[in-house]
Amino acid sequence: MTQAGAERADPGGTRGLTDPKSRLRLPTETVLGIALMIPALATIIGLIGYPTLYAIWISLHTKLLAVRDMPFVGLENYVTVLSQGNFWHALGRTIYFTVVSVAIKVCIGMATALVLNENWPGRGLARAAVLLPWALPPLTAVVTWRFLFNDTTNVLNYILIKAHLIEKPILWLAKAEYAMPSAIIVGVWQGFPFFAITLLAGLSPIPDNLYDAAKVDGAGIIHRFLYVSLPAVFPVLMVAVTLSTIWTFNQFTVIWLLTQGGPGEATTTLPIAAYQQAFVAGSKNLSRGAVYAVLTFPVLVILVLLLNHFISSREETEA
Amino acid sequence: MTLGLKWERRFKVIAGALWMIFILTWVLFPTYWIALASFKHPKDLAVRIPLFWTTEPTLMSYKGLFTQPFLQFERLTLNSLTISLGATFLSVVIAVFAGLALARLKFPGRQRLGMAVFFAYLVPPVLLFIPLYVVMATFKLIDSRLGLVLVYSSFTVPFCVWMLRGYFHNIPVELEECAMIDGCTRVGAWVRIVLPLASPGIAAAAIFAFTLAWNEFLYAYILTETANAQTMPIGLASFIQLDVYRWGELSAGALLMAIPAVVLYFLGQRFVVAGLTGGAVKG
Repeated sequence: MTQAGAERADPGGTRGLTDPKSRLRLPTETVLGIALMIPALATIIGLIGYPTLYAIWISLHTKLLAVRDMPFVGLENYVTVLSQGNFWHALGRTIYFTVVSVAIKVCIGMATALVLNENWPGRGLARAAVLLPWALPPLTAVVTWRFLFNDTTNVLNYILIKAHLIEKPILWLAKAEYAMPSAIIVGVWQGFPFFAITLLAGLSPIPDNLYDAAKVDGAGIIHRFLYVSLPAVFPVLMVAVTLSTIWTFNQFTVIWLLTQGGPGEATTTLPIAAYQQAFVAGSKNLSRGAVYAVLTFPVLVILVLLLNHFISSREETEA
Repeated sequence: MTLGLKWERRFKVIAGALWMIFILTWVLFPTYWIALASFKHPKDLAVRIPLFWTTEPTLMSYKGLFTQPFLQFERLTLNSLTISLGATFLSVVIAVFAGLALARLKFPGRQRLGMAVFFAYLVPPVLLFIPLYVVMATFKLIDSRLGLVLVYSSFTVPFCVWMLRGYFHNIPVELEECAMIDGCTRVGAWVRIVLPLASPGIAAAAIFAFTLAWNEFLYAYILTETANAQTMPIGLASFIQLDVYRWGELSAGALLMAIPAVVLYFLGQRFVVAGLTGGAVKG
């Protein structure tokens, strides 16, 4: 990137600062900048950087919750965890949960954004309503859905039976084959508004004359979506997908409050497994839990690199 | 395969309307159902055929929530408020400093630092909760409100820094330059010009930081043990795990907890929009 390009990619209007005659150019700028960053950097290093490294350190020792000492064991914990089926099953469930959830969120979010992007009375209210699940605390969302799924009050089953969609009640949370879909339903319910709103923000600046031009060229509704809307929102979509993938992959609260990883191990994803190893199962082995957590790190790194790529390519097209 | 434009338009309207009906039902019915449940009489909650309306709304569940001795709901509310406000205050102050530095000063590594803050926000609690537990235990900060304030800063600080950096960026630097030509110092120009103009952004950052802390579950779950520091979601979660579901009280608690979060969220949304479009400079 050329110098001029770098200037343009930095739209803060800081150019005035480089004028040598301006009083704005203080020699203390670097010192002041670093000084102002210190509290934030201390928080980030102390509460994110250091704990990340410490997680790796713990995973190389044997640290039990109730025991003070932690003897060094090298890679032993990794060997144990990686040789057990539990880890691989949990990884499989996490990938399944993430891929299916994100895919559904994208579809529902996109369809909703397309409708909200049209001009119709009451769409402001509809937009606010769509945001509601996203604004709710996860605990409230899960309590709500547990109530709907619950087999004594049975309202969801009641409605579905009345609508002739199912014949007999579904044991949403009690049966292994339904527990994961149920968790996905709740996760999608909370997470799709993020897509609807970000995609709406990406759709609304598309000028009408682009659609009109496509119409004149004989493009039908599907072609207009594929060749006008989709390319325009694609960069936003990619950023939203990566962010949502990170959050979904690491989803703990919704699954834990809904099923606690059960029944059996049907919804035990990696975050749930890490928590159980560290704070619930048998000897409460923090090191085992740390191994599970550390093993999710490569996934995070890949997603963050992807995100970085999408964000910087977006900034380039905007510059 | 182009349909006639008229038919296409008709198809679009019908499909869009059907989709919106589906989405709004899907979004609103669960919320309606839990709100309704919190006002139902307990006997109406135990029936086999669900009642979609109640003719005799009652506050029994809300009373039950506050009189439940093992729950100490008032204490939980107080804890949630103190901890969220503490984390919000701490992170907004830190983020104003860092945001100004990242948006207004030229120093080496500024761009990279900005990205680093954003990525720090993405590091999931799942990676951090075990080491943070050990660290907090070493400093005797388990079951302490101060401990939770510190831990919550791990996500509220990067979040606020990132938001405020963007916000400060959008305030034209010319305003500051004018103030400095008129004899303000740089910091003086920030205090008199930039911060007042950025107040909607600061308010929005504070609001979102508050809701992030207010809604948080995992850290509070592992780092608290008693009503000394437990927050609302933790107390209500212990409710779920009882053998007998007390749906009335649980719905009431979940709804009470959601009200500030939802109100603040929509308020913050408006601040962001108003702040970015309102603007102070004309032309």
